[in-house]
Amino acid sequence: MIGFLRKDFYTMAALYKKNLLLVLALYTAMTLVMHVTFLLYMLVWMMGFYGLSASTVDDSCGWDRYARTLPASAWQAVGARFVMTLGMMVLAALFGVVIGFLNSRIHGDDYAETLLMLGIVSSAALLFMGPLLAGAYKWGVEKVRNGFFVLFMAACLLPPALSRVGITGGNALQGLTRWLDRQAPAVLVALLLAVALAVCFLSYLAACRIYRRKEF
Amino acid sequence: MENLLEIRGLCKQYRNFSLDHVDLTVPAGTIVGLIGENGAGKTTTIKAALHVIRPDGGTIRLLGRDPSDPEAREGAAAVFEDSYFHGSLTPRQVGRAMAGICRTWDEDLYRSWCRRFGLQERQPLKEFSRGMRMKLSLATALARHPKLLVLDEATSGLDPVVRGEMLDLFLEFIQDEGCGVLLSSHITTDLERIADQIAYLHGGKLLFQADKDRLMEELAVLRCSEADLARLPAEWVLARRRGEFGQSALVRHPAEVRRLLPHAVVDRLRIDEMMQFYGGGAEQ
Repeated sequence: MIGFLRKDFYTMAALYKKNLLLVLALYTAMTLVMHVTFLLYMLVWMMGFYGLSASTVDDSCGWDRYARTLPASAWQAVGARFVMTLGMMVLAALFGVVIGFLNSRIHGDDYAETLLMLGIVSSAALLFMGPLLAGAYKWGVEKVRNGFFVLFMAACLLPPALSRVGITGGNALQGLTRWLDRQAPAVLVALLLAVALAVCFLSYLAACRIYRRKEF
Repeated sequence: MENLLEIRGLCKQYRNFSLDHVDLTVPAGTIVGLIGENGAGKTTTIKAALHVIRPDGGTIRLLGRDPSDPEAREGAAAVFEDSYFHGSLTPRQVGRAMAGICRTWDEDLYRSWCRRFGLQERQPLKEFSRGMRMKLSLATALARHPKLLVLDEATSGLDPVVRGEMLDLFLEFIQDEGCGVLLSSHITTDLERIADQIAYLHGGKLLFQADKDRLMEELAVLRCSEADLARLPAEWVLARRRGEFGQSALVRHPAEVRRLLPHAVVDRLRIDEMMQFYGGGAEQ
């Protein structure tokens, strides 16, 4: 697996190092100077999509056809992609932790709330990124990226659209809301993170299965 | 002599093409040249042998194991026509990546091949010429200490000097009698120069796999009139073509043909001409 990780790291560094440094500098400046904090949370999503784009790079080179001839199992080839992508997201979250701390010192924001938000957004990003990575092996990165945006829009627009026509989810939704209100926020974040990690693991298993059966 | 690759009854179905019960063997200590027209199934056969695709039927033994076993692929190294490393990588980075994938990777050997090929360790691949990229692919393959080298059109598009270097390398490679080469190529003169055996794929079927020298001794191209051709026993004439100036035919027993038709032209067989007989609409 380490060889695949090295290849991806070298390629991504060559392609995106400058872009990433600029983005980090810009987001940091916008957060600390202009108090635009949501960019810190979005960085985790961005890093996930950077990792996903490694699959596009591999497709363009015909790498997977060659990699299949190498003495590596599906677990290793797919595992490296998951480790790299999720690793980049974790680094982005840690970056958010540091800049969030600075932000709280400069602007007086509640740091605990920043950390909670970061935890929620990172968990949500993990929850989506696992199936996206698996889907990329099945349908390709472009289709999966487009599909993601369609699903995301649907998730955002469907509930208000449904409630406008009188479909609110009724008692079930109210019950869930009441239950959530009674839990400590940290517990909720931990729960969401656990679910996200479980989904990532299941996505990894699915991706290995897809990769094993795929022909190049 | 052990067989490094054994393919028996290989079948693979696509919408517009199928491989039909292909048998192919690569014995240790030999170079097997795989020839065939475009779309004959050479790349499909190679992909099946290396686990890139799954056969619909038949059996494949790669170094005595199923190709899906990573241990089998440890001893086989592939070189494809197109480069598969991103242009931003350098030979040094390629070496570091491969070291983390292949147990048998020899970094010193890899560097020595890069030096021999004149490849700069820190130069990005996008600045390499086609020949240099092919040399890198070959260095990457050889540094794995493979027993079987599989090359799919690896010498296409290379200039004669670089091609000559590659061919000498393959001959050097099989000096170790435990090693073998499967070389798919359209450049039939290369195969005439270095191949021990020729396997001919045509329309998804293997027409034959034969010793190259024997093939070239036992077959010849006869150029004569129709009347002269009619004098030969029918079983001696494998295929014939009508040209503007007479007949040409792929014939057996060239010595006897020369004796029977002393005034006819009997040329030494060339592989590309043989392919034209089989693949170019000649009468069989």
